[in-house]
This record gives sequence, structure tokens and C-alpha cells, in this order.
Amino acid sequence: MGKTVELDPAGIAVARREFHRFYLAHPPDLPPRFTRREFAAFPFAAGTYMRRHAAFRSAEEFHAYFRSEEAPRHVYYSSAYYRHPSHPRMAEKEWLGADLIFDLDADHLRGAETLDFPGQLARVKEQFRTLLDEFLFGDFGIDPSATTLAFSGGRGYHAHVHEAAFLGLNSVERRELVDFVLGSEVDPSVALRSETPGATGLVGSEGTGRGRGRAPTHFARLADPKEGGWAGRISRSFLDQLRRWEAEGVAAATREIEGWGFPHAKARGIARQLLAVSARGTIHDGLSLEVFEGKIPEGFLHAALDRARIEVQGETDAPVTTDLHRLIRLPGSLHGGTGLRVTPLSRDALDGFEPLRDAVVPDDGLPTVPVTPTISGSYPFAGGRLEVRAGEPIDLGPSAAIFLLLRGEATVTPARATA
Amino acid sequence: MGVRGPAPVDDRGLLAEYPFLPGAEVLAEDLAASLRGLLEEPALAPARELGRARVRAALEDPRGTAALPALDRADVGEKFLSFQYARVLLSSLPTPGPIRRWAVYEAKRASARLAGPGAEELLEVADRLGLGFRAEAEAVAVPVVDYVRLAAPIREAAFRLGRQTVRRGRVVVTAGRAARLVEEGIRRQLGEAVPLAPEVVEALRERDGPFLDEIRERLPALPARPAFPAGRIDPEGFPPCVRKMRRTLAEGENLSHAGRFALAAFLHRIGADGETIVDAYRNAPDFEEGITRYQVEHITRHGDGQGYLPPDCETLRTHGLCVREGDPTAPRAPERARDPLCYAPELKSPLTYYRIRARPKPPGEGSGTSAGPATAPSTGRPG
Repeated sequence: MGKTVELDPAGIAVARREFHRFYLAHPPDLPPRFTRREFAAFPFAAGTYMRRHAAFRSAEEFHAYFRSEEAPRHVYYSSAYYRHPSHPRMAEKEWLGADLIFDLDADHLRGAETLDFPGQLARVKEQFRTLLDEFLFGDFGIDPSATTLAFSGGRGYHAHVHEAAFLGLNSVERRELVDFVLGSEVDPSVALRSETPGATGLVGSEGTGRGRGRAPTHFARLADPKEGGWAGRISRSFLDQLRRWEAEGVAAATREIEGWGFPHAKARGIARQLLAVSARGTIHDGLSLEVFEGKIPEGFLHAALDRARIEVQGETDAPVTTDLHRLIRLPGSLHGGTGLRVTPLSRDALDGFEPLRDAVVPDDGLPTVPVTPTISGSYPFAGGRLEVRAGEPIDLGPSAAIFLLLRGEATVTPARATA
Repeated sequence: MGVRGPAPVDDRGLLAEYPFLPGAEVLAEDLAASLRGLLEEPALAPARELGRARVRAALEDPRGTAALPALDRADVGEKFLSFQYARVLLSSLPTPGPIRRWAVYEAKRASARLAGPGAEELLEVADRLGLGFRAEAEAVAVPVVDYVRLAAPIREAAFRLGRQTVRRGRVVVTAGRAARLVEEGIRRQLGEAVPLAPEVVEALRERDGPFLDEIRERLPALPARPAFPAGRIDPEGFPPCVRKMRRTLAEGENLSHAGRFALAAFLHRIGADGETIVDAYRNAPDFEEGITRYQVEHITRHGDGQGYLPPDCETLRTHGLCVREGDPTAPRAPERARDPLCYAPELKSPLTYYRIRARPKPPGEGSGTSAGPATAPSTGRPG
């Protein structure tokens, strides 16, 4: 659930007041089948812990909860539906089904640590779009209207699939979907076609089970980029890479090919020939791989596969949860580590969505909050720029003040110091 | 082989070949057979005999390849009733092993027909089983959800979703693969015992007691061929990773695929019998007896009944399953601490840890050690 910075009493008072104000004006929407869900909340008060196993029997109860002055810091609900959602023991809740949840977080992305916060947000959004367009709405054929999409309020995005057919899937079955999205069970040679019609790579559509592992020896063509599943996807990625090299030139291509274990001279030879042939259009138009004389470097295919899959590190951080009892942030609530809104999004709205502008709660002329930053920082924020220096007290609009307080990058300035 | 849309198939003939389909009861209407009648009616003795033959065939020919001439000769009513009789007989047994074995047999039998030329019958049967299969050019298009449900328990790598042609919510497979998927659906359906009233169980025992005993003798509980001398296992000797896996499951939390595989393979290799292994998963949030049993069977029977080796320490570490540094969430203090034995240079596998720490009791009553026939497929991704 991410780390939560502990606040001092002054910080708690300010943050709770602003959260309360927000919830009075904007109670979150009820999630589908909310009476069957378990809710959990993390309060502001220091030394307290998560309250789990709550359930709401009516919309009135649900809204009353959010009007209370004890505004919660984090609010989660279960992706699962239960017969007895408030029962304290998991085994007694009686699992009825669970939304299929996809959770992409900057933490999961390879190389995220080299990017700044806005850079991470941009990268994870790009991956989320691929996840939706290529996999969920594309290959899996999921109806966009049966999904809830949301910015997580932190560094990621969530997709909740409510489509009835998916709700009863068990962990093992969900794992198949995860593996598909991650490309982890994919043999990149599925994108190769041999000369002999019918004798494709290891692709399932032609294999008989017996043919498994009996790869043809000569690959003449690339799979049709319009083909479904991984064959077409790797083929598209392969062609994209070629286009990129055409733009970057032989030297760049040579360096990458060397990276797959070829000596420099050999790599340069392949790069030159590839780009020359490619320029003639035989690869782009005819999908011909004759340039490799049947011995296509494995690195080429793996690189193409790697760029086409949803990038995550470590199996334990799979972006699609196979956990059937998982708690997930309630769309429409506030993220207790940033004060940003867990923003429900449509697929169309996602394209223009900028978290540090659009998920910021509007200040609406509310009084400023005096804070003293503990670290210097500069963020694009709420359509402008938030610039602060460590140790220099500053009066900020509530959303910016809360953002810094909750991230542990500022404290409330004591009254005498503001004079 | 061309694939055409469903064509009219003689309905009674179809139901007799696939007696598990909804609506097959009509075949028994002429015979006015109730369950009581099936058990007692003297005129139905041939159907009962044929039912026993189906069960025997399942024990002798788990792959369902041999012909059963008596069944081929039977009329549609007898075909149906013999199936029903076999099913109630096996449902009356206290252990699920025999009915699961029979389910595999019946599913294979059906599959052999389904994979035959022309896909009309395949599509018709799939449709009646509530599966949304559709003919598509030379192939069969299966909805993604149906596909993962049916393919998840099939361990062969070639069935993984990542290796399929998937477009717009459908997985396109050959008719042969589609038949294998339907077979899986049938196997799962038939592998579940039908609920029987105690009087019925009693009546079956009275009528067919010796036969039921024979089944139980011929198909003992899941096999075990331990790497350790037969004896009771000593949980005190489990390495921290295995303890953690067991805690996770016991608390009803989810354990990763790799973790499930490692635990089963470990327990098998230290001499736990199949039932004990299956029991370890009972609290898992998604526990399904059938799937677990199938997977445990696969893991323990792999390679001539030796079973898979559990992953070594390094592999466990890459899967995030190693807790040698201590598990901060563990309830007991020793388990929260770093385990020095895990850092010993010779410690390469959780089995080494157990070999050093465990104090197995001498062989006694309890864990079954007989090895069953190795029938499970031996490829693919276990766990």
C-alpha cells in the first residue's frame, strides 16, 4: 500500500481539515455492487492502524462515513465480492468473485529510478495506454464500458474490469492473463514464418502439441503485423525498431546489435545490410527476412518482444494481481500520501490527463497554509509551477501545502514564525 | 480438415456418446429409470454391468484409448444408464481419487470422438456445455475467458495463452486443440462427485460392495516416493522459506505460482503423501480440490514417479520466496530473525536444509508410500 509518512499533530490537523472539506463537497461515487465489498480505511491519527472489514449496507451509510470529521487518510475497497464482507476472517467472508485488477505503478517499471517524478508519471501513463489499447480492449476484447479506470493518486494507474465473465476466474486463470500481458510465456519465434506454408515457428495456431519445440530451420518471413496476439505484436515491434534505426543510422544499429553478443565487425555488417535492404522496402513491404539467411539473431527477436510487453520488474510485482482478496484505492477518494484525487478516467480522458494538474484538488480561493519545506523542490503543479526551498517558510494554497506535508517534504510553520 | 458450422446431429445418438450433457436424461425416459430403479431393477442389470465395465476400463486404460466393445454394442438407453451407474458408484466412495481417474478416462473417450473429422460435433457439444466456441475459417475461436478456464490446468507449454493467436476477445485454435479444451471441461465436471443421500450410499455398498473394495485397492491414495526414508515428516526441520509458504496458505493469503510449486515439490520429496500435500493448500483463497489434486499429481508423478525437485535456493530468491533474512511479519520471534544455516556455503536447496535439521521419526503408520502408475503428462509449467 506504499509508505505513509507520519505527520505531526499540526500536519494532521491541517490535512484532516482539508480532506474533510473535500469529502463534504465531493463524496466518492459508490463502486459497483458496493454492499458486497469490504472497505478499509487508514486514519490520520498517529499510532493508529488500518481498520478493515467494514461494509456499507446503503448509499446513505456510505456517504455519512465520508461526511464524518474523522476524514480517513487512505480508503480502500476489496476487488472481491463477498457474501459477508464485514466478517473479520477471510475464510468466513464467502468469496463470490472479484474484479480483474490491473495496477501499473512507477515502482514496477524498469529504469524508473532514473526518472524524476513527472517523468515517471509520463512513463507509467504510456504503459497504461498500451495495456488498455493493446491488451485489455484489444486482444482480450474487454468492453471499455465494463471497466473503471483511475489515476491512483500516487504514481500509477488502475484498471478495474467488472465484466461478468471475468469475475469468477481463480488465481491460476488470472495468472494466464498476467503472463500474456507480460509476455512472459511468449517464445519470440512465434513471429517467424518459414517458407513452407503452414510450418510456422512455435505458434499455437498450427502446432498439434506434438510439434512443440520442433522449430523450422529456415525463416523466410516475418508474421503479418496485423496478426492477433504476440506474433503480430512482435512483428510490429520489429518493424518499429527497423524504422528507428533507419532514422538513427548504421552506427546506432551497430551498437545495439553488438549488445546481443556480436563482434563489432559482424554487427556492423548486419546493420549495414539490414538498413540497405530495409531501405529497399523488402522487409517493410514483403516482410522478408532473407537478409538473415535463415539465421536470425535471437537478440533481435528478444529486443522486439521486450519492447512490446508491459515492462515490469520481478514476478512478485506483477501489475495484474492474482490476489483474489486484494484491497485497492477507492476511485474518487484522496490519496493519503499526496492529497491528489484518485481520479476516475475514461479512456478518452486519459490521453490529455496530467496528474499533477488534473488530479489536484482545486483551491477555490481557500485560505493559504503556512508551511516550511524540508527539501527544495520544483514541480509542475496545478497548471503552474511549485517551487520551494528547504527551510524557507512559504504560504501555499491548501492543495500544494498538503502535497508537501503528506510527502514529508514540509511541516506546518508554527504561528510565531509566520509573523 | 475443414471446419463447418454445427450441422444437425442425431440427438439421441449424440447424447448417448456424451451422456454428461444437459438433457441426456431423456434417454432413460423410455426405461422409466429412477435412481432407485437403476440400483434395483433386475431388467437394468446389463446397464449396471456395463457401468462397472466403464469403471474397470478407467482403471486399466486411463488414457481412454482402448475400445470397449460392450459399450459400442449397447443401445442408447444402456449407454446412458451405464454412465450414470458408474458415476453414482464412484460418488459413493469416500476418496476422490477413483472418480477423478474415471473422469479422465471418460473425458479422453469423448475427446477422441470430438477430435475426429469435421468440427460439427465438437461445436455442438461445446455449445451444450455452455462454451462459446465458434467456427472460424479452418479453426475454432474460443472466448478468452473460456480459454483460460479450460487451459489453465493443462500444463503443456504449448497451451499457454502467450503462445496463442488472440484477437478481439477470442483465442483461435485448431480443432484438435479445441477438442482438448472441451476434454478438460468434461474432466473437471465429471471429477466432482454427485451428492448422494446416505441411503443411496448404503444401497450401493450392499449391491456392489466387493466391486467398490476392489476399486479402492487398485487405486490407492495419491502416491509418494520420498527421497527421504519413509517416515513421518518433521515440520520443525522446514527451512524458513517453506515455513513462510505454509503460513501464507494457512492464513488464507495468496501464494504465488512458483511458491505453490516449490511447496508441493518439497513436501513430496521429503516423503509427504499426496493427501497431505493437497491439504496444505486447503486454506488458499482460490482452493479448488480438483485443480490442486491434478497439479499435485502432476508434480509428484513427474519423471517416472520421482516427482519434480523443488527449486534451489537461488531460484527461490529470484521468485522472492527466500526469507533467510527473516520474515518481519512472522508471529514468532525466531522466524523474524535471520537464519544462519541458510547462509552456509553448502546450502543450495531447501532439501539440504531439511536434511540437516529434520529428525524424522522412524517409519510407522500413516503416510502412504506406494507408488502409483506415472500417468501424468511430464511437460509444461508445473505449479
